[in-house]
Amino acid sequence: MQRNSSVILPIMGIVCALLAVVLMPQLTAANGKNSDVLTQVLGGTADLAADAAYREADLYFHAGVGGGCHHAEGDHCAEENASVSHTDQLPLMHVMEYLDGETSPRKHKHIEGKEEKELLPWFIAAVRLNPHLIEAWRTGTYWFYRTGSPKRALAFISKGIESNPNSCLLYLERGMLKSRLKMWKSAVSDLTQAQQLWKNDWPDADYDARAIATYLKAAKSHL
Amino acid sequence: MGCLAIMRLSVLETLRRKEFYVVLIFVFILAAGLQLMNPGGGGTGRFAKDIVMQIIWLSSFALTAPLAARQIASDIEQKTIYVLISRPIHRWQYVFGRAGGAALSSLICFGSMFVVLVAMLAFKGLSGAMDPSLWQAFALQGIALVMLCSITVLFATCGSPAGAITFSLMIVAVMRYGGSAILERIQGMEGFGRGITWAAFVALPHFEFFNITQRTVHGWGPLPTSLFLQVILYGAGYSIFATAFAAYLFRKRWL
Repeated sequence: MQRNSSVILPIMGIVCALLAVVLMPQLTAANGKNSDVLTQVLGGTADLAADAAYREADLYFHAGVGGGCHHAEGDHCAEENASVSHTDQLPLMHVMEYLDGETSPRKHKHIEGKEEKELLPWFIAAVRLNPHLIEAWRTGTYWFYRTGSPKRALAFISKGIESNPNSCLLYLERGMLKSRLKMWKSAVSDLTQAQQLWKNDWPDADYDARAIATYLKAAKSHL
Repeated sequence: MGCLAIMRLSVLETLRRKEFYVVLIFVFILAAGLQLMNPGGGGTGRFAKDIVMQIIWLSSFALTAPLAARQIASDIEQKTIYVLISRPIHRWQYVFGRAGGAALSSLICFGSMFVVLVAMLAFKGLSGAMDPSLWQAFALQGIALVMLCSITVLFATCGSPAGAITFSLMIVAVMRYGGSAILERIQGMEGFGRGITWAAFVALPHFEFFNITQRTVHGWGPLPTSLFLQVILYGAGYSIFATAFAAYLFRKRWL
């Protein structure tokens, strides 16, 4: 019995290795050209993780304060919380509210200066997990530029276009970035491409069309 | 004295097992990787601190629940419990000893991982070891682990170890990440259901009070001392109560 199992195990190992060699190209083909290791391993979960990473960047921008208290001014949050609390308080509720409120920060705050760079890893993570998350490419590009890394911003958005060659928004973003960097000729090229790819298929499409036209006009005037 | 002997036994058993060392190596590799890679081009290290802290916190929970659940079950399975309680040791001493041993073991595991975090912060040039909120976060997580040990031992006393692990980890997940949302929902409720839900909510262990990672990572400063002590007191009180209840149930149990 022991002898049999010592023969079976290497045979099974060889069979599995052969199967892996046969299946590998088929799986790669089935998962598309752009899928990397993370996408292959995580599948659909990668998209959720990418969204979470993108939201985390927003959370970082607000210094860890998430939830509904965004963009509140002054005592607005305190007023809101007071209005939620019922007059017929249950026993211990004020203790729970106090402990809960004090252990997690609620004030409205934005990170500034060098700390803004802390957002960048989340955009990188988001687009690694889902290369088709256009908003992450766009917002990440803006933050790379804002934190004083225009070359990295350009490399980032160019990689985004590589992964999404038909995205009007990414061409628009790169065109805007190149305009800021005074690379007028290539800005015109990108904005023209954005104009060609533009489709009226989402609520902000008109706004995007106006942005393309405005930036294109400005870039052309510098040629 | 009986409690201490059993605690010592639990700690030795844990340190002989391999899971903890595997997790410790993983945390070390992660911390070293983030230190070397410096993703995003170098900010103030908030990202690395956040990731390593979250991983350490979650790993410590994941290690603690099975550790506490198998304390009594393995003694019953291997029949060593008869040897242990045939000595002049009360059953409550045995339960407290096992729960305490599990808590101490998990604190040793957590402490070792925390050393990696502090070392990483020191290498990054951050005032990691000096930050009082980091030490508060460490102490609060330690108490949360003690609380998790006690509720897992309680569940393991009246059920199977697998069930105890599942239930206790589920409670940790729901309360730690959804406690605030549940509180808001209850505030919006009306009528008799509100009272019932409120009573159930109050009785559950409030792991969300022990989670100050956002506060620590984003530099909101330490908790006021009085509040910090209140939370510690709450955790200690809850743990003692849950373990005492487990001891009561175990006293009634037919072995």
